[in-house]
Amino acid sequence: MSSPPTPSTSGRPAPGKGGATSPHKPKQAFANGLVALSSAAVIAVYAAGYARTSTAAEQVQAVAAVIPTSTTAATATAAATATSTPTATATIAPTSIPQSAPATGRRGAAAAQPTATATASAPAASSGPAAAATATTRTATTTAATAAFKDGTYTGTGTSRHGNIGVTVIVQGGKLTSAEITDCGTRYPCSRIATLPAQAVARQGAAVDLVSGATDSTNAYRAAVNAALAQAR
Amino acid sequence: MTTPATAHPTPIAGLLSRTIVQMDTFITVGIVRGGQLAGSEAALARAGDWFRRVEEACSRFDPASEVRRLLDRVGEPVPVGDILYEATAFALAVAEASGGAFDPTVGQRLERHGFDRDYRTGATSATPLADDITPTYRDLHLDPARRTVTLLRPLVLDLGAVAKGLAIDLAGRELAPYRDWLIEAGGDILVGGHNPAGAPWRVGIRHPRRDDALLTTLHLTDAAVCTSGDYERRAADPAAGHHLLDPRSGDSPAAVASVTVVAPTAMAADALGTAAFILGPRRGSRFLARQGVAGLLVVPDLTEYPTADFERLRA
Repeated sequence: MSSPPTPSTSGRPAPGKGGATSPHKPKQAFANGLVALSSAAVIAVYAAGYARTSTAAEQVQAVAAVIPTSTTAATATAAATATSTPTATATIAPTSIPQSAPATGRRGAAAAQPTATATASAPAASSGPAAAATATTRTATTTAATAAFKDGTYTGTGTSRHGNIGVTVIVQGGKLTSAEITDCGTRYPCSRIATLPAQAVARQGAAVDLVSGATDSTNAYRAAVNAALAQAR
Repeated sequence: MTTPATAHPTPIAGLLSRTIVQMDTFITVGIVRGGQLAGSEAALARAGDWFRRVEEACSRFDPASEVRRLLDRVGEPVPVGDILYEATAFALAVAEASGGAFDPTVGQRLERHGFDRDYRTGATSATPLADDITPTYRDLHLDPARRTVTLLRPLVLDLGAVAKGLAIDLAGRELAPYRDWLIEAGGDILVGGHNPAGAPWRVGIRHPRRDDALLTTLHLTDAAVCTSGDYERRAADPAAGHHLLDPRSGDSPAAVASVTVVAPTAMAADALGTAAFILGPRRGSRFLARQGVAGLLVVPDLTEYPTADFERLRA
């Protein structure tokens, strides 16, 4: 891990997409046959289907729920009760889950400009029920505490084409310490799937946002772990 | 063809996201909080919906899919929808560019190897084709003016490597108006802008042999990355190999343990990666470089074959 340009101390929002990050882009200017063809294909399908998407999407919208993360809660709280903002931010900061650590900078940024955040994000984020906003406000102090997980043992289930995977997750000291597969109704032997739990614990420490190359079994496992951890929030 | 709603929280903090089950995997679409979020939930819904629509057109597991119904009219030009036409046209272009290393007509051989189970119903999809037919991509004819597909012989198109990428790219068009966003579909990734910390997205590459380690980590923005490995979807009979077949021999290649491709589109990353996997470490790496994409091939003893472009993406 080299040091990414994290704007944690300045309180400024993310850097733009300008020159600083352009070296990370793949060679796009190289209008080579297949890559250019793939872009053209995407645009062709998208343009043709644009009109049809909106209605279908509205139906899906009604079914699927969007899970608010703890960051919203923190931001909403900061916006709603401007006076408590500094303490709330300070409490959240020392979270023991590495993946949420990068968000601390963003939280700091939000706290530094409370009015801007309030007007920009409040209407959009809570386009659903207003109850969500009140709930987060009411539990302002507990939100700070549960930025890490609550200790305990939780179970969750994930589905793959090979069957369901059940996991039992143990949280100690606010940290995921064990994520064992306790039920594998899959076509694969448990012994093969059983190599996965170490991966979950390792990734908790790995400073990555995403992993490329997961299989459906790992996805099912991850979904099961997430389902279990949802109860620990 | 429903989209089971199984929203679960994403492990990434600071992300407005939704997860659906589609195309045999979990798909997460997300927009980073903090920027302009108006209409973002509708955008995420539209993004997710593209996966359903692409699968409806391209699934070789579903006898009612557009791609399967081509079999009813072998030898005739069949007008098809935009999704199936573009996916097939791109697959054919990759087949030609790779000298047949990538071949979307391997569908029937996949069924013989046991990759014939619909992950949602468990039903098998044996196709009544003669066993001695070995179709190739040359048995596929497209008419760009009439937007028709003609199967010159009975064959099952396997658009798996192309269709998921296309769906990811279409979903990406829905999220493009937002500053920072991601799409993840079973390990295939498309990211826009930066992560919630304001840094380039940090994408770990799965280690082909160890589950407790990552092969490497990349810093990416506005890019797709796809990784395929010999660890994926081994057939019910382990001796039959994994799901990437060499179209020219019908066997699974043994030379490559995993291939990662970074490209502007997921469709290119996925399909070119599949071709490189079949071509082997050296030819595959050269093929990727010729196509102007960054890639890394790893062989079973973990020797790495990166393209020149790949090194500067590493964290």
